[in-house]
Amino acid sequence: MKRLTIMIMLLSILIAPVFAGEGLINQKDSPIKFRFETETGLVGVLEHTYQSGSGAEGAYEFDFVKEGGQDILFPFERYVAAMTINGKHNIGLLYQPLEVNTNVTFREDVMIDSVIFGQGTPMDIKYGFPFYRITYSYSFVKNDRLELAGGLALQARNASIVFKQANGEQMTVSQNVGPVPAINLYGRYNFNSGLYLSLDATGLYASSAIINGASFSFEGSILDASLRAGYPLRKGVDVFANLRFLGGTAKGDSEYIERTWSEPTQSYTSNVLATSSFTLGLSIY
Amino acid sequence: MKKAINLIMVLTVSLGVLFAGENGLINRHESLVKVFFEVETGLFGVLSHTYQTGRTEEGASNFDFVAQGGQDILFPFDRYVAGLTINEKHKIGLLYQPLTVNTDVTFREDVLMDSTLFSAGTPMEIKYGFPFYRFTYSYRFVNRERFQLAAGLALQARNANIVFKAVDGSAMTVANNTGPVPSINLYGKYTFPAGMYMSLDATGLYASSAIINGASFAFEGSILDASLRAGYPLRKGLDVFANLRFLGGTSKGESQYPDRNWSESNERYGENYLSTMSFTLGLSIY
Repeated sequence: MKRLTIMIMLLSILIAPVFAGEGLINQKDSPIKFRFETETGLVGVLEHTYQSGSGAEGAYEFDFVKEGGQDILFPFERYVAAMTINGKHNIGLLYQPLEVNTNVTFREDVMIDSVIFGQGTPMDIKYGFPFYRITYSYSFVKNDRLELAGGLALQARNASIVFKQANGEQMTVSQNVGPVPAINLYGRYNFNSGLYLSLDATGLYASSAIINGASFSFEGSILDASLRAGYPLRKGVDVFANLRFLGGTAKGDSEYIERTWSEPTQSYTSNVLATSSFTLGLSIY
Repeated sequence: MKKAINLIMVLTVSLGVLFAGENGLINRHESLVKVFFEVETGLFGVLSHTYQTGRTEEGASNFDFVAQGGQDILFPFDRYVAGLTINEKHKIGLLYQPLTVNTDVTFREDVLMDSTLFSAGTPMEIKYGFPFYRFTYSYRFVNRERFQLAAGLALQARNANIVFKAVDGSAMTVANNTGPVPSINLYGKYTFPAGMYMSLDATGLYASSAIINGASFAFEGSILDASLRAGYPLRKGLDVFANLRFLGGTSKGESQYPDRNWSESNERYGENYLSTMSFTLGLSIY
């Protein structure tokens, strides 16, 4: 989707002369209007713990920040393609790359998913948790100054977590794909100068089996909340700065073990992640 | 991230060309707040670079990245800046400086780095990552048509990731570190009648006290990022430029942050002396 978004943005420029004088890529009276966004910046991990296997059986609660090298800043990108129908119905497709590769030498024994990595072991660690999201929201307030909207989102997680001994002797992999439903809230205020502030939050806490997309009890939550300050350079082109909290939790006994060789061998998993990012971006519409 | 920034630049330039008139490429002529973007790319060479973790008297090596670590060739160099000027006087800039050098070398002597001994003959993968982000505010106190002078303050966030890893994975030492570095910014620009301009932009600080270097303990350090630029406006709102830059820094002292994280150094004492010279070509849109 990243390449697609970039391609669409470039194509949009090519077709822009057709609509010049209106929006950049939309006709003024069109009932369907498109919008594309790209943003780039940095992300810091506030908190991140991970456990695969029961603590009673010796599984280690691994702190990615203190023990896994996630104690520095990492690049952050986001891509969005969206459309608005009749000014009220908003549909957005989001691609969130999220992969952190780190190196660290373990200073204690660590047991992940039944594999023991001894103290002093040089490790290559990959934490991949990119996701895709479709969001529908309805703008129930929309005037020159204020917009308020609410809706539903369906997110697809695409996790790949790898602990690999640097000499290749041992490795454990945990991969997982699955849907995560969520609620979306959006608010925006436009100042006279054209500057605007907006708050966009998508999240959910679920402890029941049905709502989190699994057929067994598994507690989880996500929150993706961003505060944005934007400024229209000209009609149809905004620049913006974005401060975002992105986090999630998962805890419970999965029945999805050992279906494939890249799923955990242990049923119990706990994963708590909290990040904060700052980005600059461009929105064309 | 670089791809995304480049994309934003390409988009903005393209959009600007479509809509340019009396205005700049991306700013309205009458606007009090004007946005600018810069991207530059080129090459850099390491003039000198030594690094030590641990005390000499305890056997720690003073590692010469140029003579011993493969930093004796040229490397790619990029830089990205986004900013805005308010009322032609106040300038705010956000800078992203990628700076990661990955090298391969077979050690010809024993090297003790952060208590880890890499023996002579060990094939090594070395990563020296020291990208940084910087926020700068400056005030233009001379603002004539030909001549501009500005000064201000900057806050830089270092994002260090230094890895010595034996290729066979038998040993590895990692030193991660993030933290703020305050500094001073000076800027001067002279524009010739032909439109060509020369500018000097320097951000730096030397600090030996505890407070000013962002740590709660005594640690001596310095940074200097000084560039001499020759630029030419292709059209209103679009400049090309060539840039010669010295970028360097030093740090030396006893950290009080041992063993907070597994990716920080085991040893408290550290030294790092880096000086580089880069040449780049760039594009500025405003």
